[in-house]
Amino acid sequence: MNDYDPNKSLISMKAVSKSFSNAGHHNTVLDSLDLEVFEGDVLCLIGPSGSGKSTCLRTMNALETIDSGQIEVCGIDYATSKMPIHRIRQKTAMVFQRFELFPHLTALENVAIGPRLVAKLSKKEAEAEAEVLLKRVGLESQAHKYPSQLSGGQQQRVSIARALANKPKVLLCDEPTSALDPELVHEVTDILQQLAKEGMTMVIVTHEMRFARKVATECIFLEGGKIVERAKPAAFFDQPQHIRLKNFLERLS
Amino acid sequence: MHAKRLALFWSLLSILALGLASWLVLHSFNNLDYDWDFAFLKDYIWDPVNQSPGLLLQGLWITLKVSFFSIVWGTLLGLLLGGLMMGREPVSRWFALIFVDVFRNTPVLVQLYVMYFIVGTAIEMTPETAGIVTLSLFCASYVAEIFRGAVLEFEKGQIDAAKAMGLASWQIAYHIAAPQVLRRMLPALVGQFVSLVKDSSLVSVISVADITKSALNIVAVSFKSFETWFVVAILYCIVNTVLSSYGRYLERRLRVG
Repeated sequence: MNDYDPNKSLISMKAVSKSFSNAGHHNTVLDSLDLEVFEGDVLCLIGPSGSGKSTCLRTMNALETIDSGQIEVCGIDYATSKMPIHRIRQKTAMVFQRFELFPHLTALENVAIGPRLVAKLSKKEAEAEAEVLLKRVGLESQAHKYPSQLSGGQQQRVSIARALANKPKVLLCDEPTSALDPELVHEVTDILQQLAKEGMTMVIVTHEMRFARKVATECIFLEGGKIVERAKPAAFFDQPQHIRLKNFLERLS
Repeated sequence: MHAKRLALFWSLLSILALGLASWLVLHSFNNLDYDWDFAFLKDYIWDPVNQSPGLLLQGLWITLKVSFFSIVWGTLLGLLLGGLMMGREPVSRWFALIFVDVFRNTPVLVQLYVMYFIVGTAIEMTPETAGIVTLSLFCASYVAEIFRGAVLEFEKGQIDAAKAMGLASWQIAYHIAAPQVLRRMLPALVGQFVSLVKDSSLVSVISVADITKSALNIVAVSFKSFETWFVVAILYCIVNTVLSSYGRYLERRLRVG
């Protein structure tokens, strides 16, 4: 899976702006943001809360609407393409902070439902694929449990398997470890690091700096809906250029 | 702190209250100067002359029919109304809200009169049709609220997850939302259905020959109102026990997670 093309743009955001109006109070979340994700990239979005990093991620699969600008996924523009939005979304997959597994389905069914409904596989084929994926995240023994019977770390691993089941071009991770007990964080970061090593293109919003340093090809610091700094992890953490990033990193340590 | 044991006092109090209530009932029946005679109702259950179901069973059949159709139509219409109430289109949303308010806040009896004597005269409805239409609308207004409540409780995060997966809207509705919403609606829905079976007794006022109408006729002839109404109550009770047991069975089978 390492034969990817680093010049192939998978996601392209151009001059994307979004603001919320709340009781007369105007709040800019994304401020004319440009961002390009190439094949094989692992981008970590880092920034203080309210900096727009989650919103930025959620515009990539059109879970959030935008006010102006342009977003393309694999060259397909959400706004102008004739392809229905749900078909464009099938090129990406998302892992959520709170897992968002379907509680009425077992772990296996949660993973199999994508291939069944999107790739139109038979129930048997879909569940065979799901078993392989659950094995990959080390949960083959929990396949027939319901989400409520699993720990947070296990639920997030199921949700990663579910995200991979549709063979996405890009995996979007929205604070994948924030809802986990500290001792369970590594269960999830280990798997994401493994995926990165296998060449999976990922955009990750995270507060785990050590994880970001290890997994990222590039780190991006967002503040006020703008990209303030973008650098390779070593430079990003060891020689931050911008004063705001310096302050942010200092407050963390 | 250790778990505290329940004081014996509360059990004694319960026994006392129960005893008092039982005494009141027994005392009332003892003091009643009345010759109980249930035997005459036999002929109303099975007509020995024509060798056919008697008045009570015929009425029971009509009650079942009216309740069944009202529940089916009421549920379908209620889901539609509930959907409109949550929709973004303002005209249909306001219509649905007002409709639900009107049918929930007015007596079914009045609704039946209006439907049969005013609407029914204009477009010629049989009493049975008017009864089924009214009860369907009445049931729909409750189902709409139950549906809306269950949908509002549904976590939006799951919808996001399903969207992010690339499912189409109908797939999200059918495969993700429907099973969970239905399961959550079930207890309230069964309660509403049980209550509708009892409310269906009101159609007797527009001379639908349901079980209540049969009972009224039997009482008019026999003057034995106690026995008649007791038996009718037992018949309603049997129908509703079957209904709610089936509901509980479904609830167990559709367990979420």
